[in-house]
Amino acid sequence: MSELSGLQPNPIGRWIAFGLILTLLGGVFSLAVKTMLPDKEYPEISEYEPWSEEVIETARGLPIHEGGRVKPFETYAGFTLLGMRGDRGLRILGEDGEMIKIGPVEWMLDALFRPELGKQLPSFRVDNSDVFETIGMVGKEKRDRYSYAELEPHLEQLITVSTEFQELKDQGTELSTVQKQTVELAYNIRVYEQILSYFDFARYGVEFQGFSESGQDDQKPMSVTLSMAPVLQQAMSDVPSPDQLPARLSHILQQVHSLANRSARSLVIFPPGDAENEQWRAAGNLIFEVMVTGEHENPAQAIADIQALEYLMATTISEDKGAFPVALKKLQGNVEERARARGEYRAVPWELSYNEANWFFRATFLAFVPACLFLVLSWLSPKSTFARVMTWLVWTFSVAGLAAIVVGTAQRVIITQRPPVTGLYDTIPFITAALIIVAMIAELLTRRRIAIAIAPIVGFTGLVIARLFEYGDASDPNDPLLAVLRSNFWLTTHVLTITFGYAAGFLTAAFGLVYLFMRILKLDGGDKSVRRFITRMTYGCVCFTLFLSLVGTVLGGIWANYSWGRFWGWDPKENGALLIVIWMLFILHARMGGIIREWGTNLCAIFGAVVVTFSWWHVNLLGVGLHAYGFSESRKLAVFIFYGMIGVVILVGFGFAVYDRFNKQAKPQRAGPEPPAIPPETVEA
Amino acid sequence: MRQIPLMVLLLASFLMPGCKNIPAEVEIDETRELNSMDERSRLHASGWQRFRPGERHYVYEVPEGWLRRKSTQMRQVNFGFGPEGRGEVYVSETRGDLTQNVNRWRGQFGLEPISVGEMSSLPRVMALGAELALVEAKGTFGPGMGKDSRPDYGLLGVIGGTRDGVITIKMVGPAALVEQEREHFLQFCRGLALGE
Amino acid sequence: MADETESKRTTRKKSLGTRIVNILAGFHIACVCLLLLGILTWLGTLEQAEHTLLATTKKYFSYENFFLFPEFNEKTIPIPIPSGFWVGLVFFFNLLLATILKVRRGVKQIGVLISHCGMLLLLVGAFVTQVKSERGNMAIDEGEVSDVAQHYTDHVIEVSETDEGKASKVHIIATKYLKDLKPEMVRLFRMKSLPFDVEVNDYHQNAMPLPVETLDQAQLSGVELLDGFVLDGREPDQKEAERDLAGCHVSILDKDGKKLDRVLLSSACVHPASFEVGERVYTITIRKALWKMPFEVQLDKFTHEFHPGTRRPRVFRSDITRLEEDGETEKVIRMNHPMRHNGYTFFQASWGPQDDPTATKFYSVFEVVKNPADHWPLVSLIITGIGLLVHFVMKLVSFITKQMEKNVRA
Repeated sequence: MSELSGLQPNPIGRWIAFGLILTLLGGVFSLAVKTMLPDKEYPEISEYEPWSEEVIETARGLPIHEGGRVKPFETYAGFTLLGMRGDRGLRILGEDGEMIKIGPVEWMLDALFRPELGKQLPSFRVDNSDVFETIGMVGKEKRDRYSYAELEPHLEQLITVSTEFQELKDQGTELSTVQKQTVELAYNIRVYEQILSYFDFARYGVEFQGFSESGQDDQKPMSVTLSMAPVLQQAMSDVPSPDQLPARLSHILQQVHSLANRSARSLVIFPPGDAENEQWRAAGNLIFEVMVTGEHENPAQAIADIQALEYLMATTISEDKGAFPVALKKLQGNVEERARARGEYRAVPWELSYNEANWFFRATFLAFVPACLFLVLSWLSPKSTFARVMTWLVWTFSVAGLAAIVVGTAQRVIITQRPPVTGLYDTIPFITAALIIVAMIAELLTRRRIAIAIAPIVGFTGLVIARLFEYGDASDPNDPLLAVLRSNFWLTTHVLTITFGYAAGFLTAAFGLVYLFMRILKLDGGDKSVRRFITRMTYGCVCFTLFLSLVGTVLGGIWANYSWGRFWGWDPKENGALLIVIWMLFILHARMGGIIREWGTNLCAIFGAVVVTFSWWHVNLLGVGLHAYGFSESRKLAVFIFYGMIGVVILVGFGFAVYDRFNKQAKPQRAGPEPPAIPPETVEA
Repeated sequence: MRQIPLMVLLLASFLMPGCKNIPAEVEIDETRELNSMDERSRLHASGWQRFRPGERHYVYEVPEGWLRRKSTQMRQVNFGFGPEGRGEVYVSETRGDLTQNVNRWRGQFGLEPISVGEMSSLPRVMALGAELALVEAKGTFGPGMGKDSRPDYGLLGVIGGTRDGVITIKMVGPAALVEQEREHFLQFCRGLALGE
Repeated sequence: MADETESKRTTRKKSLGTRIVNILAGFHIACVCLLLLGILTWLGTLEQAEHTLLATTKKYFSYENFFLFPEFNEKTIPIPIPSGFWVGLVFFFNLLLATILKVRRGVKQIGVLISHCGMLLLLVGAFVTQVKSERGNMAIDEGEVSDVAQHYTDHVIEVSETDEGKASKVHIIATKYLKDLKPEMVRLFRMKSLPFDVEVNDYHQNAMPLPVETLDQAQLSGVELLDGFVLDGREPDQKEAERDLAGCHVSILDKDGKKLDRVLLSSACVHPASFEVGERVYTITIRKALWKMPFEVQLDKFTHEFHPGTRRPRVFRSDITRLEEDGETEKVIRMNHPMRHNGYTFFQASWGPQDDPTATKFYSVFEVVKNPADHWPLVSLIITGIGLLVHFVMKLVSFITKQMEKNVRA
């Protein structure tokens, strides 16, 4: 630091700062680890045989149409499991008590092909044991996982109770947390049941009554039944309404209806024959369209598809263990070929590689955690060679982490063919990367080893927040947007600028915090030039934030005006961005007018973090307007905790500043070079 | 010193908008151009045609002494009469066939059901613009559905079929009261018509 | 001596005037305005979650109030805050004066100057939009033609003369005469060129006509029954003022004040009420104010698509033909791609019937906007952006140069 005045930085202050940062990092780490905590106990399923690598590899690449786009089976399975269980894998104890890890692909394969085993897997997370009271079940402790089989006896009551709650909600009543979780559990059960029942048509077939002379009932496969469609269609057109069909035909129709309903969701893997049509179908849709409405454009193809599924199902119970993988591969190859022909397969291999690379996870734990560690170590003996080596390692690992974020984001852009920021989730890695880049540039310019400290801390915190968001939201952020957000140019410019603006706002606050802690913990050693330097950085950041937020806000207005006719709709998110602009303008003009000086500028900059948080997160929680695509109350709590922390810090800073001022006025000036008094208007105006 | 009149002026201009005049009479001279919506208006539209277009409704005159009751899903037009409102008259749209409904009413009074053939021998009265069957009954009224039986009750009912179902006009109450209101009932039925 | 005192007095007078201008153009007023605008925006955003957008914007930013009392957590806070319009006005003049004064400060301020001009343009544009823009709703069935849009919230009473079963001349009782009416008030409208007058009472901002069959005898006493219907006053809609449907009772009086007829009016109607005066038939109705376009729009086809397999909207598209005196033009209006013509902009706003999955014939709803300041925000942004960029780059360059000098020296 400064050698001129001969004043030494306060060692106690440094240790306090050290401790605070350690606490912060520790807190973030514990939040991250929370999402990876193993279950308290693993169920024993001794007859469980894990799926072979071959099968898993084939299955994960099966193209499936879900959420409005074509994605690999692995993604679909991953998000479905995440939504139900709160994580992306589960463990059980198999034969001889050995632990078996089950990933999302295997989990879903179990539900589809081996439901008796699937039902025993702990697929459902129930956070609050009070939920069990509402359905008449005795639960274990809070926060645990349950299997379908354990919940099965109580399902009827669950449905009754959740329907009641849903009606309450529709009438406008606010549900309690337990009620919301009950409704969510019922929803997850329904989703799971649709997967469990998908292959029922292949398991059971259709019962034919009254067709043979001997009066014997006959069970025929669905594909055979479907080939009877023309007969049924003819019969239906001969009578005025379906309930007047001959009994044996209506018996078939009823069964077909019911089985079709059970396979109408989850595996939507059959692309339509004509290029115009965008709607892929599940087995149930095929059955329905061939048999009930008679509208399928190519019944022969549909029947062949159903046959393929029936064969696949048959191989799961055959003696030949090798038959299933082959059949599955054949199916996968068939779907892939048809998807390719329609140009819809392009993104699938990219997405498989993206899933496998798991960029953000790797960046967090393989890059930023070590970087933070090295950072902390580098502070233990500053100015030593050891410290320099540590700092170099911090640089290396932070760059690696940044590269991972950038590559991951780039892959997502390739997969979705959309700009990198289009939803709330996207803003988090983006802002993290932006802050890291700026911190690195600042370090290169200033070389005081202050700016580079920001990189790993921000990287780690940002990605952990992203992970928490992903786990809480449990929906695929790559699914296509609402119609209203579809015009790419303005969308890109507006959203990117605003997001950069948020990053800049946090950076401004960061500099303010650096100043505050430096002053309170006396890390500057009384050197005024350091203080002025930091304040200049803060001020520069204020201007930068202002520019980005203002341009972003007005761009948003222009976009809205061209698309919907309203430049300014007083949408809460728009208002939030405006608040950032107003606050930055205030800091600027107050500084120029001499109303605030060093302390004032930095404290106001710290408050900027509150304003940015309000705009970035809080407005989504108000639930009004076009920007309301967010979710739950744990976030609201987090936001208020953040407000509280910043509030405390500002109050402490304010108190210190007042105390300092008071002291200065009471005591005579210290010895040492005193910079000449500078009138406020000319300072960086 | 010079600032004072300025301030007074400013203050006055602040207070001015506070006093707004609400006239009780206004002269109207404004007109507008005709547009495509004007071609679609109908003249002489009735209240139902203006406010509930396409909905089935009834036109009728309310006899003296009949008090209105809220319509329900089963009773499109609903009245009560007599002391303690024991008597009720209502128009109802229902399903099934004529004989089924008549026999339901008869069953409520403990009478034997009649056959389709016997239906044609029931007396006719004018209602809804046609000659419709009139059903009469006396005795203990057991409406079913968990309600208590009432002795000495009477029924007058008119029933007719339309394309979409069956319309009934039913009067039930203490026998003497029903007898009293018989003429009012028949008058009501004669005047009852389906609105356009 | 006298000269000195004289010049001293002149100097003092000058400095008083200059001082006032300096204050008005100064940073303190700017900061106060900014803080107030910030607080208003923040409280308004929170309050908007509970009340309609229209009501909140009116409360916080209309020129009709000078002060307002904000609500927080549904409790009114007894601290008055100046209304947004007036703060904005003060801020505008502050900005204007400051910009004018800055011109004298020199080239170094050029970036700031440019951006201030940009902001002034934005504020003026906002004002123009507030005062001079019109917007309305146009719903057209497939195959039909329309040349008129409906205002979103303003109701008018229309009295029409008829000729051979159709309206021939339409007289308007404007919104401003109905806006302030309360149910207990009575207002007489003297129709200058008609042989009768219209007296309005029981005016409700939101009401529904109910058939008499839905009431029981007790409810009937004290309400007026007209043509089998009763006017049921309701609370104005808290979330969307557009949903309010006005209703009232109207007496048709002859020029001597004798009552000729009495009618129930409701905006929730498809046909007007008819009455006769003399030998002629007139109609009267209350409806959202109509706004005629200088051209006709014919809806040829409406298409809507959801993202395959989901209920998320993907495309809403109307194929229309624009009919004008000098010919027909085919156009497409889609979500995010409006049609701009002659100062009018047509946006794809809604469609129907949304609750009937078997429907084959659709209708499309357009939002029509006429705003003379349509493109001003873009211009203003460009100007401000350039100004800020110039200023920022100048600052950054000077900062980097100083840092590099320091690094070299160190």
